Amino acid sequence: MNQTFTIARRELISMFCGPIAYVVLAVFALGTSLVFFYTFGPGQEAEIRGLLGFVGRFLLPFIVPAVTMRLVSEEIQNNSIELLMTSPVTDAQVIMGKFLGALAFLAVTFTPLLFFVALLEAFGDPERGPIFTGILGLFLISGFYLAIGTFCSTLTQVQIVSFIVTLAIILTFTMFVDSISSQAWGTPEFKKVMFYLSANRQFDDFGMGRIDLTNILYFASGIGLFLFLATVMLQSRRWR
Amino acid sequence: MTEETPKPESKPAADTQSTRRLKYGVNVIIAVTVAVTLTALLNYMVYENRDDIRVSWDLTATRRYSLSEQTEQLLDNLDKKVRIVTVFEDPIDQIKESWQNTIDVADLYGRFSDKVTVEHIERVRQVTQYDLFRAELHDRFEDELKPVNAAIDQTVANLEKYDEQSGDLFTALVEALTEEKISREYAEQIGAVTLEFRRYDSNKGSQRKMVETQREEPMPFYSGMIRDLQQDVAIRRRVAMMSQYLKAESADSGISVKAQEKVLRIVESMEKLVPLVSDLAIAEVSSPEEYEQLRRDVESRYPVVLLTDEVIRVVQLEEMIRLSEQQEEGAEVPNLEFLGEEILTGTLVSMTFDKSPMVVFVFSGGSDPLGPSGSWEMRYFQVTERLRNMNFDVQSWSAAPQMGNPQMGIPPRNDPPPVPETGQKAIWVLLPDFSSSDPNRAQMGNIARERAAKHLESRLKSGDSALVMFSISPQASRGGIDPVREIVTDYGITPQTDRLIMQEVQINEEQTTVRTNFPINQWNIDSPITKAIRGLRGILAESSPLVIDDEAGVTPLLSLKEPRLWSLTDFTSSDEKTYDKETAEEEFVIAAAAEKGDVRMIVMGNPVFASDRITTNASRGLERQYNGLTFRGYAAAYPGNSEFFVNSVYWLADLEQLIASSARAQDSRRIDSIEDGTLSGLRWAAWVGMPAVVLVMGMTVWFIRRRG
Repeated sequence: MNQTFTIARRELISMFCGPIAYVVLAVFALGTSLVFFYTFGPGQEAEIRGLLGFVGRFLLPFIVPAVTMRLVSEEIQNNSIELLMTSPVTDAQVIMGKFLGALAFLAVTFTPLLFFVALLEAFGDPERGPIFTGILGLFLISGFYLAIGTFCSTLTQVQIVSFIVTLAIILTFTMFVDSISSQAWGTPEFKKVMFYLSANRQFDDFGMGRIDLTNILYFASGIGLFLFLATVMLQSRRWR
Repeated sequence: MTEETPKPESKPAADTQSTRRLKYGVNVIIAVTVAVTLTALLNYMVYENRDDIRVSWDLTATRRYSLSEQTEQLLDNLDKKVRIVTVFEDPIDQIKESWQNTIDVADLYGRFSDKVTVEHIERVRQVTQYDLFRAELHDRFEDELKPVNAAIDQTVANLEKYDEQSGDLFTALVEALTEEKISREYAEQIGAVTLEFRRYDSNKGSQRKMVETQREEPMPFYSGMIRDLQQDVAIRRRVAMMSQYLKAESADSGISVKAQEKVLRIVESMEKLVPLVSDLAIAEVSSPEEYEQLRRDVESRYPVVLLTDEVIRVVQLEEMIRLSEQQEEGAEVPNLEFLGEEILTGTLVSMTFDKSPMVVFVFSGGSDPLGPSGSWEMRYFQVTERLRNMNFDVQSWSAAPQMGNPQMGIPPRNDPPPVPETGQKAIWVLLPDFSSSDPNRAQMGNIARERAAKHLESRLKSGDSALVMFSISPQASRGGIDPVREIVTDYGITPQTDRLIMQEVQINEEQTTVRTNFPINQWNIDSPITKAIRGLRGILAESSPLVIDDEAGVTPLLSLKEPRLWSLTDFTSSDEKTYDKETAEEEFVIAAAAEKGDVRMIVMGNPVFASDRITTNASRGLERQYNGLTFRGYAAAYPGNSEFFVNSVYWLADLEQLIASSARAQDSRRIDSIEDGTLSGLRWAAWVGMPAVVLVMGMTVWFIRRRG
């Protein structure tokens, strides 16, 4: 476990040594503040459901691939992957460490949200329940996207390819299935499956103030699956 | 014999790289397949069994995303598939939260039950879905609309033939009469005919296009098409009729013989065309009212449409919200209470009736409370509409015999009362006998009252329920016997219709006045009927007290508890009314509920409690504050009266689940006032400050790394 956290810490520090981290932070801060202040004013609702929805649907699908594209791809490109794979850590620990490092980076990225919550507390009386569940949901959906990005990063040494493939998979779980489930054609059962697969729909409950086991299971199983796939891909490097 | 040298053991050939790759590759494929399958299976199992292992937490302050037990039970027991479709466009600020709550509640229903599917259609952005949905609704009325479409097609075809064969008759008429010496009277008639011809001319050829344009709509406006075509037919018939004047008067018109012949020929041509616009089906046909109402409802701003294979119901957003009693002065956005779950659940219940309950308003004289004529005080349109929206079969019956009119050949008759079907629950709403205050009509009123009482008695024995209203009765004050009163007394409730409740009110230190109208702000919360309307305003006007037999298990529903109350017996006299200690009480019961076996009864000592006079009375103050909002019933002055009546009917029909429990406050949390300068500062701090901090951090790290 120590090795995992060591890798995570190292990953987090190395992220802040590159320009991408600051671009991501700045874009997130600017984007969220624009959206927040669009609905922040006297008499408006004291809540961040709309903001969290914007982050989950429109920001994360682009920010996360940018964060994860270099996770393993850079190691492969720099040939430091061999060093990593010959060190006394398992592939699962490597993947887990990188995932946790990226997740910690996203946690730092989300700090402007605390500023907005503080404003609501100062100038209104927001319901804390939906804020808590909304942020919990944000971490779960971020974790899900990060797991996808981590897996895609193991597929190639070219970072931009990793970015694009991650984005494509995320959009499949969001825009594509949303679009399919809202079309006029298709059987009700098929639409139900599409509805269930939609990461946006699973995330919406958290924004409302609800925590449902099925939502948590969706994200947890998705994270587990993609991290497993990433581990398998990394292991395959030994015999390919 | 020499020992044989043991042969060295043969080693297996080393795996080639491709063999190794194949082995590992197959392993990986199997592992991935198993992982994906297990993940899918786990999600599937949890989703399919979520009813049994449902674990969810609703962390909102008012638990607004949790369904009540009543709703959950209903959804568990649903045996029909229900589709809930919300149609909306960008909601205005005043109802944005309410609309979001509506969508969230609808989604909860879909999540809870496999039998419920939920769909949200944004009218402007999802035009195709919206059109397909409306077309689907239209197709449900295919059979009823067949004769309508046939009549429309027939009329359009006939009008086209008429126009084709009529040619340019107007021009021909003008040519025939040009340069003719015409008498003044004939000239006036020509002027009138010309007008009709001009009207007809401008109308020619427009019908088919109008019909085609309308039919392109997913839900065509058939009533409009029928009306327009009827008008077009009428125009052509009038042209033919007006032409007859010309024919009749042409001999005295002063025109030449040649011109007369031309006019006659034109008029004869018109006469030949008359059959094309006579006896058309369009004159008799009408679009199904249910279809037209549905069309209006779906095209209104925020409808929620509930559909089963057999039934369609539309609930409007304004039915799911009501104004909270707590309002902030001058607030742009009103405080609202949300009734979405209660209304949707009630609607679902009503859609699953095997037989719709029947409600019959029984009146003993005066006008039909459900009829178009009659005064506002005697009408019950508002509560009737609410009950019909919940799939109740509401009718009326006059217990008074019809005298007929021998001079006009109209025989006297006694209309029989409606008869409930086997298994259908019926609730008899007996309206008070107003005619007894008029001595001239007392005799007829007595006959009607006897008939009503006899019928009520027999229906109660069959298991029906009753809501009986009483008014003050001069006859009762003279010792007259009301047969209906005798029936309700058997249930432990005795109306004192020889008394009128009054209150002495202090105007100033020296002067007092009396009043007979009382606002209701508190309801008895022991009964589900009134518990649900706690906090709603109501009013009582001119009421008589009820005496309750406590041992009969009667539940008081509504009482008056005011200081200086007394009951006046001499209410017909014009003497000044003064407080009477002998008849004074601290509390008078005005409404009570009783049960005897399966039979339920509610008695009210107030005659106009739920009439339109009360229930459609809007609050001017509230209208002024929220001017521009168009919600129906939004600013009702006394919403409690309508709710009480409707809840009483639900209780009498053994459908307590339809009684909307207390509305949940929407718990609107809003941002307080902020000075413009502060808001501006915060905005700049966020838009510029935060990204700037990030960039400064980045630059600092870069410099440090460069130096290090």
